Amino acid sequence: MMQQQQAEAPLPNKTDASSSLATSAVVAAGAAMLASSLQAQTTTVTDVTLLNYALLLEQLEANFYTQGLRRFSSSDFNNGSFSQNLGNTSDFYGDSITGDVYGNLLLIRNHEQTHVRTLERTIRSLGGTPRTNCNGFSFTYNTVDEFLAVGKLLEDTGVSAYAGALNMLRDPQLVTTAATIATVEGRHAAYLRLITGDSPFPAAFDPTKTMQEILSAAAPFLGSCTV
Amino acid sequence: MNRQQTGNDSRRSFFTKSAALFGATALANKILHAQTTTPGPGTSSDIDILNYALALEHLESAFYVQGVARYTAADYNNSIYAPVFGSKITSNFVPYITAIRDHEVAHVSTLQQVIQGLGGTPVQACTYNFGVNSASDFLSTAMMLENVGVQAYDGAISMISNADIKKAAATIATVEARHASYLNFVNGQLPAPAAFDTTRSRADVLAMASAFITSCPAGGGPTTNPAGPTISGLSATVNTRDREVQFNFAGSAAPDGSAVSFMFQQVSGPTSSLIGERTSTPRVILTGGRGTYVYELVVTDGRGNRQTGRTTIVYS
Repeated sequence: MMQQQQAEAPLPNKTDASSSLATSAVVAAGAAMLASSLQAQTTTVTDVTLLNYALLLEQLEANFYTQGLRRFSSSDFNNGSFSQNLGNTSDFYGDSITGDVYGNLLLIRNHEQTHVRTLERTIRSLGGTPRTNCNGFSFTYNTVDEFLAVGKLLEDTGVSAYAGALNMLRDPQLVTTAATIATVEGRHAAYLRLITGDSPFPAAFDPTKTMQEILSAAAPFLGSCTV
Repeated sequence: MNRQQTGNDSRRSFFTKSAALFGATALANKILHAQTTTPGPGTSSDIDILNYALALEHLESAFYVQGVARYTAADYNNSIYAPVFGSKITSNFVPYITAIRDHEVAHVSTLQQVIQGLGGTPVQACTYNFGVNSASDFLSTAMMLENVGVQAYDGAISMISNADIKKAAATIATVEARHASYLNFVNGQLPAPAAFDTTRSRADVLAMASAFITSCPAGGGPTTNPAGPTISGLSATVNTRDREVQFNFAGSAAPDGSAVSFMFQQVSGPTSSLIGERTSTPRVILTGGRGTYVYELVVTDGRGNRQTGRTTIVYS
């Protein structure tokens, strides 16, 4: 299904300025299409379709951290206004807590990259074609604090996406894999919320979101990439 | 948790006595013998998995209820990791631990409702001893409980058949992961140590939980291998003209793959001799001559759950 959309909206010329208008149209169409096909044939959404949906989100997250950690240094994070809340400079376990932020973000980036590779491999092993990787996602932030705010939103959204879609996977092993990714996204979300002064766990149950809701939420970040 | 609480002597001596009375294994067996499954039409396995989750949520809920009642902001600020944190972290110990308690309490009541809605009987809470003596202990035990909770949910979700229940379990699992992330952080550990969380089997999780359980009400507590082991090689009736009958129960198995043990004994009939009655291949010698002999086989799995079967040998 993902492939179907890519075929209908060929884009690989992701350069010109018109692409942002074009992509939002593609997103809207893609979201509507996915949603209608989900409603019409809930029982026939394939595992490959669902995994490609997860892959899109993981590509987006991986690209987000790769871009941000290239742009900001460890000392940028130490000077972020969020870090004033985190602690003193004692070296209790290696680095100070604030110094650990950069290291933890690198780890989170690595997790998202691992998720991308694992999903690609899994899709191929099921005879499917993984959606093309794209590094052209677009995120708006000027400071590390703004960067962390976007990260928080992406991780919370990722949790809701996995929790909302996991039960549609047919293969029980894939359900387990999705669950072990979902809980890691939950850990990321909690960490980013904690260091930016929000409750790490705002509710007893995480909210779930449908594919359509998630694709709409992802639309502003698509840049030159497509659904 | 209360074992060394000052000013609570009767409780303290109770726990000390319990610890002396029950070794971990005996205690585990005691809990695991309590069968709680109430099969509903087509949903017995979901009820069973939900009761497994409920048993864990009862434990977590009791842990935080005790901890919230016991530790103040000052206690947390004296914990070993507190000195490295700034005010945003230290001032939130109590509110965040209290929020976690509220979540676990909400998970308990939701699971109870869901189980009842499916026609099942929710498993009851047990009495627990967490062996916690300080706010630092409390935070490190909490970290362990939450991480095991994540592994338990991640390991069990795929076994749920009902799609809505599967989704609900996922929304609990990710919240347990958020708790685990926070507790890792305040214990000086990486909030998200790996790209994938690991899973843990039900037998493992319950064995770990049993270390915290002092006693359970009748019909309470977690169960594992709820169906008990299966028996293979035992016919209801054996008609024979031979004086010796050889059995082979080697195909008997436990749902969790644990080793099974055998006990084969005579219930009624003329005198007979049994050879290898504690093996998977016992042999009966019908020394009492022609007649009807009845035997009972008990198969016990690694968790102490039993399955019993009978056979009648008609020697003519």
